[in-house]
Amino acid sequence: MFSKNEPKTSWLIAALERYEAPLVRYATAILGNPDHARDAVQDTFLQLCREEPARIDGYLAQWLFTVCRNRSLDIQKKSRWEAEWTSRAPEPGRLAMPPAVVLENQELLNQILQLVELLPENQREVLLLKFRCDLTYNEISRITGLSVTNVGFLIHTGLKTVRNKLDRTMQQERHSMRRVR
Amino acid sequence: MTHEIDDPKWTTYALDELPGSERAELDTELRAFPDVRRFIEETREAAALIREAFALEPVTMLSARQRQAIEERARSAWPRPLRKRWGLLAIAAAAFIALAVPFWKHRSPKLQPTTVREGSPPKDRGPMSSAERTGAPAVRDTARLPKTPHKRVPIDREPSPLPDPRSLDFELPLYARSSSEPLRALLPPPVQPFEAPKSTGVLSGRLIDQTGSVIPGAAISIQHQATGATRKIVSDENGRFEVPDLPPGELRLDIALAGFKSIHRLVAIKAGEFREVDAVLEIGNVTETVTVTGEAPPIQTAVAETRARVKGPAFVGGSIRREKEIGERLGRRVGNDRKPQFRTEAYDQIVDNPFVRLTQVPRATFSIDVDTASYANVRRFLNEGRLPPNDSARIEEMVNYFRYHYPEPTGRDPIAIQIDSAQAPWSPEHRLVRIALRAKDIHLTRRPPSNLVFLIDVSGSMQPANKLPLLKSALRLLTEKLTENDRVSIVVYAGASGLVLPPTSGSDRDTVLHALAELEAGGTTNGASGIQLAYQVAQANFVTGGINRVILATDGDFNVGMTSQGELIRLIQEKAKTGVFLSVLGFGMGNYKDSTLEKLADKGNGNYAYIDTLNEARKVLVEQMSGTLITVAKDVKLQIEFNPVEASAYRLIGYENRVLNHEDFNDDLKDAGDIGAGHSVTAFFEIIPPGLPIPAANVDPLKYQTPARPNRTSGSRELLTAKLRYKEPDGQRSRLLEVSLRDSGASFAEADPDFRFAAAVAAFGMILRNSPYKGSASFESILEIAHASTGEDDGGYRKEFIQLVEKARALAAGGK
Repeated sequence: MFSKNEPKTSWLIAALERYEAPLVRYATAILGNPDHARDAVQDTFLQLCREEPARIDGYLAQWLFTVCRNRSLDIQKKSRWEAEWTSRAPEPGRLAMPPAVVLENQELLNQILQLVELLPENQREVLLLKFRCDLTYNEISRITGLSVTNVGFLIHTGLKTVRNKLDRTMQQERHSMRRVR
Repeated sequence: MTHEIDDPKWTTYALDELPGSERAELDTELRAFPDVRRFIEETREAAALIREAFALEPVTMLSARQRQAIEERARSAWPRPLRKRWGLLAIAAAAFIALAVPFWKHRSPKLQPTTVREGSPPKDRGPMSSAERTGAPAVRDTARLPKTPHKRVPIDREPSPLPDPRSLDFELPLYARSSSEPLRALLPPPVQPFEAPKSTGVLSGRLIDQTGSVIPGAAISIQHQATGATRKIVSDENGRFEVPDLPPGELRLDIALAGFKSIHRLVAIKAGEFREVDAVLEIGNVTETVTVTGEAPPIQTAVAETRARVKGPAFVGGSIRREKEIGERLGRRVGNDRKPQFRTEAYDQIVDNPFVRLTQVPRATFSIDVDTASYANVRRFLNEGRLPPNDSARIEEMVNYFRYHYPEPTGRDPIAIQIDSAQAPWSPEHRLVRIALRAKDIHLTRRPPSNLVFLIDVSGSMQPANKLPLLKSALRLLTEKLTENDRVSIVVYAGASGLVLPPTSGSDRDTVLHALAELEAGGTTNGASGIQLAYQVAQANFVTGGINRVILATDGDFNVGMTSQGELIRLIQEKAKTGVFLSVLGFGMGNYKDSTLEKLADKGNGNYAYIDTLNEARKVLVEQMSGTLITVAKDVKLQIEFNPVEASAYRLIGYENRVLNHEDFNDDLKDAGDIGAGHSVTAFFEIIPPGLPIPAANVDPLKYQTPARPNRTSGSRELLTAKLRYKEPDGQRSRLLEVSLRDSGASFAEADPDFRFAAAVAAFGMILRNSPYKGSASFESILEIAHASTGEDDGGYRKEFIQLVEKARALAAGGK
């Protein structure tokens, strides 16, 4: 029944497999609300269904993130409106870290995530696209509309800030431990 | 070959993002610089950690139903030949629709989804994306999904059978291609046939001041009268604002910006209406209110530019709260203690000067400080609805923000010093001593010729309305005041630095204004080479006996590593010796690096101001222009010797980072603060009379010597003697002034209004810093004092102070 469409269908399913999670993460970063983020991603893939694979061959990631970003911004506008007129929307915040036997390494990684979260929005966005979604500077540039140089600068600055702060906290911790002894 | 370790190119290299040719070039450079190699390694490690950290995050996927919907669609609905799909529609409708879709030709080659743009231009977008700002890729426009009518596949919450795939199509029929020009002329102009009727309206407008300059950064609040719900935005760099999706009905519009009269106005808006409300703000006291009558006619329009928007909640507003949460999770309270906090704003930690026993150290030595940046910065935090971080409140800068009516010098010295005392309002048994300096005023018309080099940061981080656009407005104000005696140059720095305005006479205002107007933010910051160029220009045009000054305007997000910051300071110090001084204007928020900027101004014989509003710019660059530009005395140091008969301990309030070694006082090689024409400087000492307990002076008595006995025979009953040293701006040797004080025993109420007001500001600073020495000071007592000591209050600054204290009180009460 699907024989004629088979290659395209599997291309599409493969795209879904590959990009579903990074896209939801990206949309969540923009929207703050995982449900809205899922809506945006669903819309993105539905839109993809109508595309000719040949048209976006080689640009799939860029196409998906661009469409997802735009869709998220639309939703954001709508939901912001609702939120603002019906008093405060609850802060969705980040998803809770899995409670766990907290390994030292995991603690460090959590701290990094928190530091990333505190960066200015543009740095946060490009770091997410670079290190979570594995996109190149060029792709990020096209998705966000920033110049490639600017993307490079933002990533540089973001990395630097995270590193510096991490150094500082670790030093402080070491320091306070020493004092305890 | 120079190499800058803190250069984005190395990060780009580390992440393997460089094209081959550039990479090869850097490879050679790399071999020479082990520090860069280390940087690259560390960057890679950090990148790996961040990757790992992201991977650790819990993954959110689509719901099963959403996935199913997509998969279903992938199989069945695809690929449909487009033409055939729409072939059934009525021909007459086709012709009509065709005309409504004039945009179908806008196709970019590769990336365009098969959507045709909606019939209406993009008047209703989400927050302006950077793509729109830069006019970069058209992808956003074409790939944008239409909003209405928009049917969505239901998700888990309301399970229902999947709808007919066709109802999901947001595309417009593609046979719009068949539109024919001749037909167009025969038909009435189409009225957006595909747009659902709007249930909301749009309010937009532009704010200008009386001179016609646009006003960025004004707070605009819109309250829906029926529901009381409120939305707030800020005018953009062009003074524009636009608020979409307003429910119909009566709206109350409030526009406010410090230094301007507020505007209140009622506006009715109908569904589907696009309404423009322009306003002219008048300069005035903060508290004054003007009600504007007469409205611009409503404009029914389908075409509108995209304008400043409220920013989305997730990326922007969330961070403060999240910051707090994270601070708490890490066991740190944000806001009210002195522990280090996670912020991108950097403040050096300040520990309040303690009480010092006279038997241990009988004198205090410090440098003056005329900076005022801390107050403007504190104000910015409070106006944003946050309590400022403790270390952002530097008491001396807060006190010195205000004008006081100290007597001007009459003799040949350019500085007058006056000392008086009263009861300390927060510890009534203690005495409060005020040391008041006043520099001679030089009228602007008698200002010596000047050679000003503006060094302007145009990096990407300067883009927001409260940075470069505000800076441009600020410099426009200054330019208005320049004459043929002045020469102005502009150097910009970002990725590369350059001279955008060669030395130009101040009378050639148009050229200067034109150069200012052309400035645009973009690129990365490299503070160091920009400063070098600026100093070169300043020295090449040196005016002997005139004002030679580099004015650095930045948000402080210098792209200089640790080593180069030291080099930078050395460079500035060296140049200050040649007579080229430095002023620093800090802008913006977020990346604002307060401590670096203060240090730079300090070392460059300069001053440092934080500009948060156009009004502040007017204060610093116009009202106090001579003070900002003309230094009347440099390396001004104070040494106070206390009489142990009259006091047992003292504490210098503020000036924590200005304390000098006692031997530095007579050492003319030691730098200290400078004072500009008309500036006043205030310093407070809190004194503990003999016999009273000394808080926190927990030092064991000396074992091997008894403290020297006070020299009773001197019997002067003097409380203290203040010595002041200063140098002429081009002098090398210092001059000494000396004044003594006998405590009159005055109560606080007997002190003059300036004394009382300044003490209230100091107390406010102590509360914001949560100083252990704040005694009984409270927001209430500060308000009481301030209300009774506003005096003449030129410019309304003291009234504004009262409002800030009230804000802080409300925030502190809300936080508990």
